[in-house]
Amino acid sequence: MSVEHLVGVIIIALAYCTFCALVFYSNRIVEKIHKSDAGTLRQIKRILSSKENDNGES
Amino acid sequence: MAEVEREPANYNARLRLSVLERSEGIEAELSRDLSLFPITMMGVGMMIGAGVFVCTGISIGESGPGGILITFALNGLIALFTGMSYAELSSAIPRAGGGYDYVRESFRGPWGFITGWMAWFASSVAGSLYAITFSLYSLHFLKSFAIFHGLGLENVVIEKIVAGIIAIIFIYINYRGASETGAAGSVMTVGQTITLAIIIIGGVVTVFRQPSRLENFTPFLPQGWGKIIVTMGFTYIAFEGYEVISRTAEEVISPKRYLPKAILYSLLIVVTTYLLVAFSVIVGVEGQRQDAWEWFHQRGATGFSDAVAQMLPFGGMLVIIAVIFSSTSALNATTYSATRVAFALGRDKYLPPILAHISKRTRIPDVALLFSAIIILGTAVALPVEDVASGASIMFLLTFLLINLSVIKVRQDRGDELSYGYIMPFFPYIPIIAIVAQLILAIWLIDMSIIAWIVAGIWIISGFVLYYAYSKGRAIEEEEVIVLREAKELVRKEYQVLVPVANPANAAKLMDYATRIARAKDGEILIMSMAIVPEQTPISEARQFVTASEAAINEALQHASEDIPIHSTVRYGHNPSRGIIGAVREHESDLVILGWRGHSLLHDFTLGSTIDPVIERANCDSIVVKLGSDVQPKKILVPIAGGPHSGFALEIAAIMAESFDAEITAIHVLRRGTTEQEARAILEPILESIGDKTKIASVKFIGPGDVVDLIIAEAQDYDMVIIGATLEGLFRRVVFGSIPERIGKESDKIVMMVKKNLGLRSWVQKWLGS
Repeated sequence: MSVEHLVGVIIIALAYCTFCALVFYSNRIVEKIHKSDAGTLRQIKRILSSKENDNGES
Repeated sequence: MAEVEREPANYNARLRLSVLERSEGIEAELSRDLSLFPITMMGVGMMIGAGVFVCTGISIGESGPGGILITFALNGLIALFTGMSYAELSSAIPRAGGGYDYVRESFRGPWGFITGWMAWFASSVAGSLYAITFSLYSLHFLKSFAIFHGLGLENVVIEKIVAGIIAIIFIYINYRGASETGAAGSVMTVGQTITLAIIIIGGVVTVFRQPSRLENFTPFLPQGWGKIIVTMGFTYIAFEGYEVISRTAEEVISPKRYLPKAILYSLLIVVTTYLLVAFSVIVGVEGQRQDAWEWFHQRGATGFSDAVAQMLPFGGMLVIIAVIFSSTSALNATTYSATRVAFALGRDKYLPPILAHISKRTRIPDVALLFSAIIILGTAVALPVEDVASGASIMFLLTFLLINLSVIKVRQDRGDELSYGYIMPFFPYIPIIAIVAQLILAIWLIDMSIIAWIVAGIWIISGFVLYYAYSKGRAIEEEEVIVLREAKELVRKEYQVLVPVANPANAAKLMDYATRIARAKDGEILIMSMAIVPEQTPISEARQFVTASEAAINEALQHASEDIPIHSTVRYGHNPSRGIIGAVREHESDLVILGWRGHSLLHDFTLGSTIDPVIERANCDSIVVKLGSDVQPKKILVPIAGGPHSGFALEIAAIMAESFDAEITAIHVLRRGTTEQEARAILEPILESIGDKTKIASVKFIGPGDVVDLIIAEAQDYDMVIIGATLEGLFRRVVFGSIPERIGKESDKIVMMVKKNLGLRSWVQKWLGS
């Protein structure tokens, strides 16, 4: 395996992992907003920055 | 029964357009009937739609086997960045105009127009690409048969003629108002995805059997790293599905939640599939004297199918069939997408208002379609496939660049004013990275096709000239406000009968039966009528088609009884059955009553294309009335077999008997080997369940013999037959069951087919959004 192969595989793996992480994280944001009454940017940011308790409630 | 205060049924899901005129007493509402699965599949279908089959082979030939994998991985990431912008904007501004509306919302001046202007060209040119793809692959298919050898099918003129013919066919189909949507579209997309899944499995098996095939990845980047940027720009067209998803905003059940999810899920499916498919076709190439990338370079657009043909038995044929289906499907979608944008530009007076003309006969924006057709045909016939694909990609990249700018501007200006369903993380870095990346990719496409850039440049410059010479001053800069209907206090009864009316001639009878049931149940009636808009026409234009719907409702209201509360609504949608199912869901109706002409005009449907889906999928009890004679029923026949719907049939019969002062005869057709006593034991609990048995004049046992023939013969002495649905096999295509349906078709009496809602809808049906 050449250096070109190695760098290429690392780029593909990094790009795909970042892609998947962003998809799942975004999906979580949608669900969190959906379960809350938040709508405006300010309200959503407050909801997203609050820590969840054991019951998964903010 | 006391009147109860009920929460207005899902009012957030019902938008009222300020542009829609309301008649007094008649509500206007949009029919929201698409759920997560169909809109995700729309996005997947748009992305997989032929672009990947053509672009993959060409791109491997340009940037090599490693280059294509890096191309897809990085393009996936950039597409996701733009997808996140679309997800955020579509959740905050859920409008059918998609990107055009977002940019108009964010920037004043020419930018809204330029976005629409570029999106029009991008969709039209994408249509050209799909027409050429169809032509290339169908000719490739014909060439595989010996009898077509020597006919010159490789001739580029024939290729262009075929592309032109298929484009004309789909333009005509769009003109007629037909399009492949909903379940059919989802099935087509699932078929394409399965084809790609087979290719992926084939590739994995091949590598396990012959690990030496991994040698095809050497050289990894034969033309260097620079070519990756070129192929990233070239293949970007295969990643644009979010515009289609965002344009369904007015038809999605829960746009704030489902639009972002559908955009994310569709990208996840597509990017993963592309990476695996690219890997598989590369290892699919058998040991050649030349390198794999050179092999693809020689074959160009058809390299993909040739590689799969080497890997799988009938693989080439499989790909060709998939491409022919997917290219026609995508050509159809892009044609009406282009038409919608051109229509919007005319409607908003950026372009001459003639573009917003809607044909009275087909209800299609015919002039917008004509001009879109000229672009589609012109580019399909005049330019080679590489230039067409590059041109479409340039336009999409520049359009998405403006969308990424919009997401930043909208947050700055209206972040605390709009209601978001999703906000992207790492803001504003993600849209900024996307803007820079898309600009680079668009510029680098000069390397792939100078012609594409010349054409795109002329189009953009002419857009600016047009704006300052014509549109400025004339255009409606402000979007007509779409107002979320405010929740109001409604007092409604606990039981609601929904009466969909389409034909004013049937309204009187349907209202008569509905009134009798509502009175018996101390309930109310909701009269609804659908204003049907073709897919090619934006749903907000429904006001032009509302006259017939209002006439039907007004006719029904003439027959309303003063002691029964009546509500009425016109629903605007693309599909009558989905509109009725949506009304049942949103209004939480308990019973739907439909009229039936007594036969189906279409072979694929048992009772009719509207009735069948409603009965199968509406989440309430249902009655279909075959509207026969005008007699007031005095003798009612109720065939009972013992199933769960028999009790409901008797309950309805009891209501009819009470209100018409009629008598009921229940009959049961004996099976061979069953005695009357045994049958009576089965029926006794059903007869008891309706409580007041005095309304049942007699219970008769007939047969054994042919159930339908015996019941029809018996019904000769009666005025009305009320029959419950029968339980039949899970996979049999029946609505009420073969016996009630045959009686309905063959009897000349008034026939009521009734079905109790047993709540047995599978999760698959729910997910399919039916």
